[in-house]
Amino acid sequence: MKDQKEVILFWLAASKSFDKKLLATRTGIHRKKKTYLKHPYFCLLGEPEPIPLSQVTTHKRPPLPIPTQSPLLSPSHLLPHSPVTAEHNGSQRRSFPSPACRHRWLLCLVPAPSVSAESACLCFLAVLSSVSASLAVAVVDGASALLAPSLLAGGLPLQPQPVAVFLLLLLQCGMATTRTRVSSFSHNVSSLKSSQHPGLKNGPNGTTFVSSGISDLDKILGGGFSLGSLVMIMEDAEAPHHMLLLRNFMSQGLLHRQPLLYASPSKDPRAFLGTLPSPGSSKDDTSHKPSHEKDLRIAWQYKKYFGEPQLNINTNNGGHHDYCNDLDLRKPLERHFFTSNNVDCVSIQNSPNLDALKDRCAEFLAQFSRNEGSISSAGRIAIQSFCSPQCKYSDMEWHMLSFIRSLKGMARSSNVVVVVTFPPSLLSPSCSKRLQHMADTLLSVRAIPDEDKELAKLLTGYQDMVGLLNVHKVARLNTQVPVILDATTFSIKLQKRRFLVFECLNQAPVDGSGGSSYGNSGVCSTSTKAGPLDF
Amino acid sequence: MEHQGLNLMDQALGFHSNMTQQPWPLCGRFVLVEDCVDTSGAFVLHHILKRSFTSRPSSAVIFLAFAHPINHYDRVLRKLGCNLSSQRDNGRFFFLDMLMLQCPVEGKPKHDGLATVFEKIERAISELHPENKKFVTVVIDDISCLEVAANGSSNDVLDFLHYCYTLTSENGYALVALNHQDIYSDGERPAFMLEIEYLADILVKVDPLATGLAKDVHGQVMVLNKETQKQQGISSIKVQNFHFKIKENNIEYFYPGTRT
Repeated sequence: MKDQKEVILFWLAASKSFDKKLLATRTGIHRKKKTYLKHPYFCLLGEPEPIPLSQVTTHKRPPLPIPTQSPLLSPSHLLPHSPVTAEHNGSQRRSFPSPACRHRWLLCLVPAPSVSAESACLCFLAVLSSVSASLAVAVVDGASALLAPSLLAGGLPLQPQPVAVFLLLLLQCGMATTRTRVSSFSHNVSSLKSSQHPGLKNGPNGTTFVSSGISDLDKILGGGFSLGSLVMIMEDAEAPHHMLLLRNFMSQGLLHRQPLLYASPSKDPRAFLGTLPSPGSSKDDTSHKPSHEKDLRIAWQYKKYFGEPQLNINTNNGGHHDYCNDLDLRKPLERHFFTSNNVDCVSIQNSPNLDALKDRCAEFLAQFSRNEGSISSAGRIAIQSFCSPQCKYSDMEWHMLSFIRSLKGMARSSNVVVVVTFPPSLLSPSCSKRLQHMADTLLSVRAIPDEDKELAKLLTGYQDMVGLLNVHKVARLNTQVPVILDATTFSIKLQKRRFLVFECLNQAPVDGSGGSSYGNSGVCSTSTKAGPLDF
Repeated sequence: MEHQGLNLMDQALGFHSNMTQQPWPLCGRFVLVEDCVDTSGAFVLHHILKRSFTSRPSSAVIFLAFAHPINHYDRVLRKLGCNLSSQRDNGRFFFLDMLMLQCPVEGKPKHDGLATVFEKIERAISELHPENKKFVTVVIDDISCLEVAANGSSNDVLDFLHYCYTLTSENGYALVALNHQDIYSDGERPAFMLEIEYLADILVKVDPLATGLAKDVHGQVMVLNKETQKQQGISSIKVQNFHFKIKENNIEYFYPGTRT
């Protein structure tokens, strides 16, 4: 039984006074009528020619005996755990689905003719259809039906009184209507895959995403980091914000049991694992980016541009927290995640060249070589500050470039995401540009000075910001279309000093008396880190 | 195909509407595509690849890939309407995967690495069916990775490019290469870039818009076509500027401001 979301409506109209068309139009269900008629569960009994239904036998219990004196089905047969045999006017045998599919039933018993059953039913169903279409409704003409006491949930005997009696029989159920999906990834998301590997998600053009550990970054990048891509993060020599990104990335991989190779220029890289964050308890519900607030700030003619990117945002917030956890930077990751064999740490401080690291990476990548077929597991490689001056090879620029190039080449044919951070200010400009070209996804983090009055005037929320994140390039594997983001600069904030969030920059209200313009380059030139701020 | 409408890029490269009478415009020419980090120029390579398969039926392509594996190009060109695997089966597409190529550093002479690459190209050309041999396009993606593979010796790279250029210009083949101009603009060895630009017959420069990135217009293209009409001895230089927008199954080129 597929977990489809369908509306099931049962009409059992015994009396001919029920004009089903009228009923349908009044309750607005008519437009679904045609789909109804083909629906396997649409059952219109009491008609001279009952509509044939496809056999839905999901259940093997023997049928219950049917009281033959009633021209109608006994409503006990409507219960989901019993098959139904309709013998009225030679209609066929049908059986209702087993409890596995579990419908929410609304059983409405209306005695005909004393009360205008039609009107009663109408208003009742109008209520129903307005509340939600997730109820399966069965309308039974109660006058001619024998009601077995077992039918009633509470055991209330039904008295066919000349007054409309409405009985609600709600059984446990998990049905809802189909809703057309708005996500542009709808045809790519494979529920089967996500259940097997909560850490993987299908992306466009045959790529697969893994989470970066930060839900905002996943949203910005359109899903996460693509497997087989090289992510380069340009560090700022003045601040260690790239470590925040690395920590989240590594921790998310360990939480998903994805093997990790970590290389760093420190003497003891294993000690860094102790600072990895752990999934925090429920985050504060007040979303920092309420959509309605966004609408107010957008001038009407630009709204057309904002409609599109919303579609690319993965609809993960509802259910699957497995893909990307909210990582609490103050809570260290439990040791059992990284004392197992799936974490490999390499120190590159003392090695004279990168050959040893290259061999380690090659070994690691060989475990995840991609072949046509489903992805069995994914891996992560995190290399921190690989050209820092502590390393002996840091002046051998071509050596480093060829290392990155071969790493990229190996990674493209395997299911691994490689994250490399490097300080561009410590390299020659052409070498740094070459590295930037080699990256599939290019990010840069910048520090912002504390107590900078100009920036405080320019931006809202300046006090909470710890730095700025710039997205220069987003990986587009297997396609030539570039990704143009609405904004490429984001502020790095630590919510409650625990959770890493990225927010779009919001310009502070303009002071009308001031004569200075808030142009991009004008204000930033005062701070040491000059760079365009993209709103 | 003769019946396809020519867009601005085709006209800039010299394609003509009636292909039967005039030879393929890229014969014996070197097309250099330059781009930068913000805007990638790989789409020009894809465009030329598609044109070489669809414009003249007997054109073959030898592709030296230093940046992406074949799946990437396969998918991209399939969306553009070109099936690389069937071309490869017909013997008209050779993919030389150089992703892991690394020339030896010490000990052996440096020339070994790139010389073997050149021999591979020659061998691929000689293995072509004589029918396919009439027009061949050699595509290099991209030169900066070729430099890294050669451990930074720009002399070797320049020699290699000279060899390729000689091979293609003498036999009437076409050579197309992609390079990243912003690597060299910061001033260490600008001579390298200038030498390659001098060698090129058609220069395609892809830049982002001066005002930044936009969704409707992905960037601007400047095509510099050094036409040499040898009969009359006149060489003219044609420059064309236009904007482009890249989509999944085609690329739109339009004059600035004419996008609706």
